[in-house]
Amino acid sequence: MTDQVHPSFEGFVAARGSTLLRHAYVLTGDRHLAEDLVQETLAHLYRRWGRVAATASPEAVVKTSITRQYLSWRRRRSSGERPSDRLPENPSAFGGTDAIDDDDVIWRLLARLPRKQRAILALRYYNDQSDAQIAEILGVSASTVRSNASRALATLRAQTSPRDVTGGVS
Amino acid sequence: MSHDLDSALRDSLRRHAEDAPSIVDLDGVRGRAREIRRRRAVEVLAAGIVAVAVVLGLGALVGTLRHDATPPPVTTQSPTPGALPPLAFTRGDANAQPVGATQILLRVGSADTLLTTPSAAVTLLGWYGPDRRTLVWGVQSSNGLRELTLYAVTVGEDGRATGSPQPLRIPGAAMLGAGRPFPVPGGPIQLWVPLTPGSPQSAAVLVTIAPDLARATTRPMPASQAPVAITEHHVAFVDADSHVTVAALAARGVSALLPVATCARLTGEATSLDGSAMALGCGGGTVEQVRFDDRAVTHLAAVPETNQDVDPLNMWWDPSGGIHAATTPTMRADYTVVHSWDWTGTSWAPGPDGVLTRVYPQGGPSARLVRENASPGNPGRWIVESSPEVDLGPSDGSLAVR
Repeated sequence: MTDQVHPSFEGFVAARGSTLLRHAYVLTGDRHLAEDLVQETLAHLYRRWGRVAATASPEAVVKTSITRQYLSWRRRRSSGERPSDRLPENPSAFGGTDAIDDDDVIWRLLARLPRKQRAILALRYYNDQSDAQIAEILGVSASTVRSNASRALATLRAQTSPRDVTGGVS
Repeated sequence: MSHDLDSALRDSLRRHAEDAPSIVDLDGVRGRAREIRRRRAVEVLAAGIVAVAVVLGLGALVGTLRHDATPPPVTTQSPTPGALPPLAFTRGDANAQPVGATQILLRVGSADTLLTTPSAAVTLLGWYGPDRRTLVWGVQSSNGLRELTLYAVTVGEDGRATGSPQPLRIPGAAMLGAGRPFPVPGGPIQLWVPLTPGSPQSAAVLVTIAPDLARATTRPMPASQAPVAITEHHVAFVDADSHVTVAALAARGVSALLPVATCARLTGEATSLDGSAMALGCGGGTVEQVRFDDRAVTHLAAVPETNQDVDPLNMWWDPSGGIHAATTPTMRADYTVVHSWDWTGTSWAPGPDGVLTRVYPQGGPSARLVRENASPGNPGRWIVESSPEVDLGPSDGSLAVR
């Protein structure tokens, strides 16, 4: 069996693979899951790469697929990741020290948001996408994006003090 | 604080992104692709075996029941586009992008005209003007704001566009600003134009564009978020905390904003075709039906297959006042399964699979947007529910029948 794929598939992966992995990593918060997610998505797109490559932005198509795949993923590997609607009372309670870096606090809190909320924040704050663009990517209404973002930010805000996000490392 | 949290989020995500792995295992990708192909081949084979078994079984059953009857000849009638009313739809493309152009196909009689609009977000509003020969649509700008700029093109006797698409202009009226259009079935286009686009709270004007496109009237609107519904006589707002208010439209503005219900979390909305009510998705699949005239609220049972994180894909009304919803039990990179549900008055009954929405043009056949095993960026295909049905082909979701 000979795989007939667009010749630039390998070139695209070589050139943009690290970008895709970063995108997947900010979604999952887990290096292994990010690799798994990117592999799975690219495998789905492999057979129809010619059509993807013919688009104005293959990277946007792949990132959209990664995001949707992430939201629909059934956990097949033990990852330790357990998205939850509830956060621990204190960010330092989940294994860190009192000298947790601000970034680390935010990162750990993000990892405990429900997937859709985390994806929306990642798309908004990492990819700088508008609510309308996020709605298009997720296949939901913009109002759903706004309400989920609002809930996620409220959750984060409730778990971080002003010092946590504006002050230096204590 | 809000700004600080925004900055902290941005900084954290960008800094941690640098910790991501950097090399994609191409051999792993190829291996998975082969596995997916094998799995699909097995699924197709299994489906084929089941289909053959069903056909053979049915054939045997029919043969048993009608063994002494001569089967009548099967006649088929090819769908003929010429039999359709004039229509237009945004043409889907498997390679569609979040950014890029959208094609609008005008089909009048046997004449097809393809228009290209330099925006990924195009919403057809309907046919207006004298003899309803002018197609009006909204185009989202590339800055991500949800306000649409209205465009129009007029079709001649031969079904062809008489010129290139132009921004909609109303004689004697100032240039229309970008806004949120709400086409009233059989009535005007209500265009809510914020004075400070992109602002969460903005004063605005409501431009009512007459169906003949010969005149437009303007009235001031209160500072608010964008409305969720505007009919010929009412406007409804939902604020950031999902508080719902309704006001009656008056000649010089609106009556007092009256609270009607509080959504737990607004997830979608639909307005009845006669403008008498709206349905609000309120999170967790719950739906509240709000009558405009007396602000009475009816709570509907939760739509099946929804939960706090999974909202209905869409809701719509039919001309008889029935409410419908579309849901998906799973969303994957390469296909989406869509189920539809019909509100019976007491519960949601399963409707046909694959239906994302329906439109009910006045005097014309209804059409449904179906999505079955569609690919990303290709939300579905329109099927005109005439006799016989006519499959218009891939579309990204907007249709206007004259």
